[in-house]
Amino acid sequence: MEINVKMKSIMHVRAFYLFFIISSIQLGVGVIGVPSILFMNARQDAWISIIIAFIYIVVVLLVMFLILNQYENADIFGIQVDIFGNWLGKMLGTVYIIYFAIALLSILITYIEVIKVFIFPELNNFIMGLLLLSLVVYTVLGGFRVIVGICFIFFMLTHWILFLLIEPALKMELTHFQPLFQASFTELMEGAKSTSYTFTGIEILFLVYPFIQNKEKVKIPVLLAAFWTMLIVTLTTVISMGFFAPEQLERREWPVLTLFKIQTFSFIERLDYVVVAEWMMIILPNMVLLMWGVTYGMKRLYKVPQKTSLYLVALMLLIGCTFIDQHFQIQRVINAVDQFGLWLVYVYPFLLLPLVLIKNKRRKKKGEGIHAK
Amino acid sequence: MLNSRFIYILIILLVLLTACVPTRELERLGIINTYGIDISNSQDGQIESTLIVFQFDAQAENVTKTLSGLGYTVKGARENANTKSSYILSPGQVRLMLYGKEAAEEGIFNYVSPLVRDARVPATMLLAVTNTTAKEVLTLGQENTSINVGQYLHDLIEQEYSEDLIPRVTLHDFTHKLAAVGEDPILPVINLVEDIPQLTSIGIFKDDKYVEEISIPDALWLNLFHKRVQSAPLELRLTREPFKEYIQSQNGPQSDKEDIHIVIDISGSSHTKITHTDELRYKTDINLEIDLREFSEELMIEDEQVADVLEKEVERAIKANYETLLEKLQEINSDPFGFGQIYRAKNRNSPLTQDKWREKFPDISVEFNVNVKLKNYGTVK
Repeated sequence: MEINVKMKSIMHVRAFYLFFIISSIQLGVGVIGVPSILFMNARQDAWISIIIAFIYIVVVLLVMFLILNQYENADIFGIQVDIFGNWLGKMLGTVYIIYFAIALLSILITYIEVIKVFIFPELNNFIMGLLLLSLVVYTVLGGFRVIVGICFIFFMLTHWILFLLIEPALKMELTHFQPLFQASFTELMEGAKSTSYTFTGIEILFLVYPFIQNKEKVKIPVLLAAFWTMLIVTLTTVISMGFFAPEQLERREWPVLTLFKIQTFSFIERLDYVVVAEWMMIILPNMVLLMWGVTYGMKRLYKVPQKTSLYLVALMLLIGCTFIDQHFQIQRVINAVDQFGLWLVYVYPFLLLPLVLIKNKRRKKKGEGIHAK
Repeated sequence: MLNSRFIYILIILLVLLTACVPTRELERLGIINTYGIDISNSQDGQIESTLIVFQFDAQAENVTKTLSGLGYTVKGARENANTKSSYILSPGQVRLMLYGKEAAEEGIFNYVSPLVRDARVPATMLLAVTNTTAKEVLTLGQENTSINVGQYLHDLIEQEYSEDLIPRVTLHDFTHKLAAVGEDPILPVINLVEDIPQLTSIGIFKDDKYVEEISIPDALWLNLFHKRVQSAPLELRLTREPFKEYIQSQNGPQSDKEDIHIVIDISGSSHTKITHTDELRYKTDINLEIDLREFSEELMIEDEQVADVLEKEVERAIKANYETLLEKLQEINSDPFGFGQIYRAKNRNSPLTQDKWREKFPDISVEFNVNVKLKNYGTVK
């Protein structure tokens, strides 16, 4: 298999769009529940945990850039085959694919649960799954450039929701944040760790990198996207902490959605219904990118045509989301993704980096250049 | 080619799948407008719920209907009431929740928390307690007010709120105060006066139990403590002595009285900080601007001196009002001001619990520092 990806120039997108790709995949179902999880760990100092997590993510991103820069135009699948050899490299690539698929499943079932609790308790999982997955399949069939377009458009179409947070923000009680700096270092770290599910998504950079036209400008949009995500997570967490009493926030399942319940307009009384429906636009780019990651990985590793794997994975997810409908089952899937992601996204790049650097140095010594087979 | 075929399949699917979500036609729904919750005296601790329901049926002559049901849970009582109606009762538009006196005195936490659990119940609904049973208020009120009693009561509370006279208490506000350590919730009290429901006072809660009531004017002091107040009308009693020489009719019929009454519009806000954490000493700065509206005796405001006297007297009266209110609240040991919250925010050593605060609250001392500025006095000097 080719380590560097040969790309027709028509497939390229500009680095600027990475901002939308990364922020779209990071913001998803994680945001709606993260304030209470954070609060349970770090109490009123939860906002510090977010900043710690952000700093860590920036370091991870820099490491990822360093790895990618060692090659001309490679993605994670190629790099792993180059480092670990054909057999082990492909196996590690498969790990990524499985991770994307489970992450996609966790988003799907969480969103269906939210709909069932907030709007239609009688809704059939199969039907909701079918509707969402047909949207995903339809988008992925359009190819990578369409996916990037979806990220861009839905980014624009969803961020108006932030304005609905003004009313709850005005009802904040600042005493809930005091006394400051009460959490211990371990509590802050636990808090930072608990944001991992919300912040995952940066690993998609390993896949989309070969598609970027002007690679020298990659860093700024990616870091900005991570910053934007951090800003939104901080905003929602701070508003939730001020809006709810501490004892309330601990017990809320999706505090961010509850924030929208007090906003009313004379023409729409219940904006929380609108927001829950609107949230589909937030998770759709999420699911589309992950689905693309799965199918693209299958094509790269095993030369399975993308259409075949797309339909197959969609079918498997449909079956999965039909049967996983109990809250604690869903939590178990989320926890699995959380654990899986913690190692794969936040730790693994650090292990990969020295190997890549050593390999590269050796190759230079041998005088083979970086166009190694 | 495949893409366009895919779109056709998708459209057909979308049309077919609309049937999969249960339909809720407006004509088949009973939209609950007001909820009344009492403890039933006939059965062993069952809840009796009284519902004012809207039914949009072309054949019915009256849109509103009163239903009642028994059950051990709030939802159970609703289901029981539903057996008396051919409509599906839907809680998505509840505007007002009334708790009967007996239920409120025993504690309403168990009747409030199911409302939070059900995501379809709106968080903006208003809560209130009644001084009799909620059922009586709703049924008698329905007979004696020409409009829907639920809407009437809702507007009654909403109107006082819009004048900034009482704190607004929605479901969210109540549960927030209930859960917060160092603050107690309050609710407006609805009472039947000659079989017509009225807003008579404000109920003070100790945790989730209704213990005492304070007058509506006193509620203004609570409101001013928590938020910025915009021109709330207020009638104040001042001593007559300092104004003696400015009163127009020196030997009028009221000249032997000790007090005069004035009506003012107050606007302003307050800020409270803790000055000595260990001794539990607080300082509250209240900055107000007042507009004069009326005197019980005609006063001549010729120069700034009169204004100064007036400002000072109003300051003294408001300070006295705050002090009596605080004393009363300390006596029943309930803290709707939220002094405990301020203490908790400044206390770094050990986390405050509600019990610890109950021990401390009677011992706190607050210095109310009222600052009044006279803005306008109308068209007469």
